[in-house]
Amino acid sequence: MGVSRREFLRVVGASGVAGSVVGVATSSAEGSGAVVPSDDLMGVLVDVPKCIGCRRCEFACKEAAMQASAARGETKEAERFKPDAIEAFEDKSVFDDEGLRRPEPHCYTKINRFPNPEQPDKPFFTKVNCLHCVDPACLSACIVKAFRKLDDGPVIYDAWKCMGCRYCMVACPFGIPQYEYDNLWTPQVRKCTLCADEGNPNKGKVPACIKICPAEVMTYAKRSDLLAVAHEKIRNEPDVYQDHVYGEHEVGGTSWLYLLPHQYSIEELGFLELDSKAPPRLTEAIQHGVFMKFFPPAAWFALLGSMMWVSRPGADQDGEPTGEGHH
Amino acid sequence: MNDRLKRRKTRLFAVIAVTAVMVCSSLTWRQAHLQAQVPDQTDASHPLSDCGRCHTCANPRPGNLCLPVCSRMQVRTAEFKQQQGPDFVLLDIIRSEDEGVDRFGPVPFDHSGHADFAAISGGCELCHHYTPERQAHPSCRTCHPPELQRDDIQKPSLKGAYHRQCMGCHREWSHNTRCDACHIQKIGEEPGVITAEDALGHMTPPIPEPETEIYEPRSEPTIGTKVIFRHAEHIHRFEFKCAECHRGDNCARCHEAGKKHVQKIRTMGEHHQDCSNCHAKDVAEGGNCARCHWSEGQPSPLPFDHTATGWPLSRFHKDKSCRGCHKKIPYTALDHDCGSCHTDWEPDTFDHAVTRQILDENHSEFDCEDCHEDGAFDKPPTCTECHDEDEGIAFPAMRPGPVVKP
Ligand code: SF4
Ligand code: SF4
Repeated sequence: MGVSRREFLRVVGASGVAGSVVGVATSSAEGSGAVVPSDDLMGVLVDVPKCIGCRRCEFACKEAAMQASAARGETKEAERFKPDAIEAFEDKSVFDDEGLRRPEPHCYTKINRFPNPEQPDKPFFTKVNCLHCVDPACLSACIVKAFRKLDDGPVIYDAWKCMGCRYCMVACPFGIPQYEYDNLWTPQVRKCTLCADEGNPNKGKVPACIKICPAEVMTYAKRSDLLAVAHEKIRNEPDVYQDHVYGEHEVGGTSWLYLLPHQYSIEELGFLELDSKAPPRLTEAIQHGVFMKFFPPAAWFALLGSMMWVSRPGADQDGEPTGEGHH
Repeated sequence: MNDRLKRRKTRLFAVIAVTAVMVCSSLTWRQAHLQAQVPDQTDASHPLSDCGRCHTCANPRPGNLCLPVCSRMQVRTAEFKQQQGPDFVLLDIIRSEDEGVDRFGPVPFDHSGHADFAAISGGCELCHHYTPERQAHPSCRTCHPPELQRDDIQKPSLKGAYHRQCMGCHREWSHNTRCDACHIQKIGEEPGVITAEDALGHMTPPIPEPETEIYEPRSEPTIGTKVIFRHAEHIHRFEFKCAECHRGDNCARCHEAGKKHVQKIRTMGEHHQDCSNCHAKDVAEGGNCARCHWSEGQPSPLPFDHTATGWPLSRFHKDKSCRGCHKKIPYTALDHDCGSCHTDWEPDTFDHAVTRQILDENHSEFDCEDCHEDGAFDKPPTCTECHDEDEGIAFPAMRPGPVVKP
């Protein structure tokens, strides 16, 4: 009826991993706490009811990513980003399909259409892309530290570091990072860089989608200033906007802030109801516990192993297995 | 047995140790997690902690929030006549921020055309939403800077202001957002000289004009279940401008004429308002309802015939526009004296050839009344004043000179 040493070790080893994971979670939560957006943080205010759904931002995004890839010498990648002629983006039939349009590996932003019950000829459009979280879950989840959060806001990444684990895709509360399933040999994770990636012609300037937008749906400025403007717009035009700036508090704050039409709930517009806690704390703990700091489970393993060693009845019986536990 | 017990003890100890560590860790973690959730009220970096960012005075209160004036909120406008505005404007100030590369060319803007539409709904302030008192409309760029990166992010830049204004209406009826609907040249094309001609009707589909419209009143009409409205007659013959009848109409009403538009529920008075501006007598109590109302199976009212007014139009007048003679709306009866319209027709200077009847030498010296009895120019001239009736000389069989061929 005894337990074999191997089984014992298996149990202790597994518990050790779990114990060390929680241990890391504790220290991590105690150590950093909620990240407070700095005053220099740039942001983007999206005035959703102003969007006319022209999809020129989709074009500009692909074009900028193509130019950036080409500048980095990634010719094949550049070819994948190459947009159709700008007129092709006038095609409104893409909105007819059921379901939300989501970012793709070679188109980091997508526009979705929602009917306007009050003015049927002027539907609403929302723009989906990376929100550049103040405290990004994707960054925390990445075990090879491919992601970086720049001081002025953009969450960028070194795609060449990506080893394809796709944890960032799971970690991102908005499901933004996309995987190049069509790239057979060197698939990488891809997402909006706010045009701050190496070689991007808009780096340090206004991001491409914001620059091309005819209706100036997006304003690129300091996040704190944008929040003030957003709240004033809500005060002045309560019959246009809902009383909520999406991204102000969600997941600890995001660089992209959205003013949404009051006719729809947040979720109806394809945005998630999220609380103000940044999810990275937990994901970071698990990921880092398992991979970055592999020492603790090993330590537990050693500690408990030695305890057993000390309490063993005698060296001669050590190798003697009991029947039941053996397998 | 002793051996086994010892092993069990060891295992138990290990499990207890691990469990204790797990429980302690998760408790501490939960504590930290809860703390992180409570927002820090004293956080100075919070955008709402600095009142002065939005309020212009130290003590904002309900009723006086001291918020900066947004001219969109407080529309002020001066009275301008449409004719005071330019006919055509070339919008070419915005340049692409990429050095030397403009994705789209300038926009030739038909100002007078848009002023006409604006008269239908909204007026000039539909676009010129802020005009300081006793001043001309400021140009858009007085408030909206052409640069995308600007200090005042409350207002859109010039590009945003233009497109929001234009696309607000254009996409409503065109259902597209095509750039070439307004921008004439595109990247790579030679920028020729752009004139007013380029602006007119550029990419705007022609607006269909209905010949006649038949309405079916929703209410139970006492006379006739149908109403006929001769649209073409009103715009071509009576020369009504769109804005004289279409007030408060939506752009799509005409730009998308084929589409069924949601009609506002209107009272009988409101329904008759547009007509009663001219047809006041018909619309009034005891008026001639049959001018427009009729029932299926009965003959519909006929188009307007000037003869019914007691003044059949002669060949000289039948091609004239109504407003050529009737200067005011509603059109009222004029007297039959030629001089009340043809004020420049003086006996000494009058050239009779304008009537297509040239007077020969024998007749050119006569006074008007010698032939036109009592100055009744609408009646045939009398020849018997001079010519013997027995001679068989009578107008129009015989004429006082050659006739000008039309
Ligand atoms: S939205 Fe997703 S991908 Fe973008 S920064 Fe946040 S967690 Fe990362
Ligand atoms: S370019 Fe601007 S207006 Fe056009 S779809 Fe994108 S956000 Fe909307």
